Amino acid sequence: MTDMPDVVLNSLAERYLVANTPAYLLKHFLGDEGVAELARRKPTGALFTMIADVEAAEKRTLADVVAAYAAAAAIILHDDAEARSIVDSPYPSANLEWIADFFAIARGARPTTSTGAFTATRPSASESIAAANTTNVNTANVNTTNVNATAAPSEASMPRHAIATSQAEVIFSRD
Amino acid sequence: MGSNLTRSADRSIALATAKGTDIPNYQSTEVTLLERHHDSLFRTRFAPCVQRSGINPRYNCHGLTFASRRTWIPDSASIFTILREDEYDEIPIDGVLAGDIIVYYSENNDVEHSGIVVVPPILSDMKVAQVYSKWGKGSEMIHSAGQCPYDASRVRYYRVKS
Repeated sequence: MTDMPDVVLNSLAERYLVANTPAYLLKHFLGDEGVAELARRKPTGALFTMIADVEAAEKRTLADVVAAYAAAAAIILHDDAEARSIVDSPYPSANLEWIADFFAIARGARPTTSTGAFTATRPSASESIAAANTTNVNTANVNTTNVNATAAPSEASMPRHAIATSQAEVIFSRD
Repeated sequence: MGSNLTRSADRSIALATAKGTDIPNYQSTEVTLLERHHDSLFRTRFAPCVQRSGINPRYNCHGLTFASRRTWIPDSASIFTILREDEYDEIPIDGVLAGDIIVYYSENNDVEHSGIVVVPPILSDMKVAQVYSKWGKGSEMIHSAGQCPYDASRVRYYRVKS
C-alpha cells in the first residue's frame, strides 16, 4: 500500500512505537527527511489517497499505518489550498486515531506560519499549567540545567537500522 | 514490514480525576512482532537503560504514571487536568523523592512523556533522576531522566499534595 523506502519506514516506525502523544509523533514526522521527500514527491490528492486506502483496508501492516501518518504529515507540510482544505475539514477516523489530532494541531499552529509553525508555542487552550508554575521558574531552570548534563543523544547521532523485510514476515499477535 | 494488523478494536475505561472530570483514554491491543523487534532495537540505543517489561500496547507512559497501567492517555490536556484536579504540587529538584512524578514538556507544551522517580537527583552520582517509565506502546524502562527518546530539557517534578 506504500512505496516508501523500507529504511524510511523503519525509522518512522520506531518513532511511532515510542510515541506517547500525537503531538510527539507529528513533531518527529515533520522533521523527518523521508516525510519531506514524500511531500515533495506526491501531490496532496495522492497523499490523501494513501490515508484513505489504509482507512478502508480490512487488514493493514505496520508499514501501512506508519505510511498513512507520514502522508498526513506530508499534507501538513504542503502549503496549498487543497492541503488546507483537508486539514480544515473534520476527519472522522475510526482506524487511524491520530490523523484528526495531527490536523487539529496543524490548525492550531497555523497563525504563525504554515510549515514552520510547529516550532512555535502550542495554543494555550489546553489548560496550560504554566500559570501555576510561574512561582517555580527558578526550579525549572535548575531542572533544565541538571537534566541537560546527561541529555539524550541527538537524532543525528542515532544509527539508523534497516531491518530486513523478511524480519517482518512474522504474524501479528493481539492480546 | 509486512506483518498484518487487524483493525483496531480499542475501548476506553471509566477514568476520572479526584474532582470527577472524565479523562479520555483507550486500551489498544494492536501490536506486531515487528514492533517487538523495533522495541528491542530502539532501546539498545539508550544503554544502560534497564528494560523492566515487554512491549504492551494497552497503556502508554501517562497510563503507567497516572492510571495504574490500565489504559492509554494520549492527550496532553488530560495530563494538565490531572495535575491540577488531583492536586499535584511541583517539587524543586533538590526536594525530589522516590515516587515523585517526572513530566517531560516539549517546546510546544506537549506533555510528551512522564514517569516515576526511583532514585532522586540528589542521591544520584550525576545528580540526575533515575526514572521508570514506559516508552509509547513499547517496554517499561528504568533510565536516567535524560536517556530516553524524549525531550529532557524541560522536565518538572510533581507530588500529590498531602
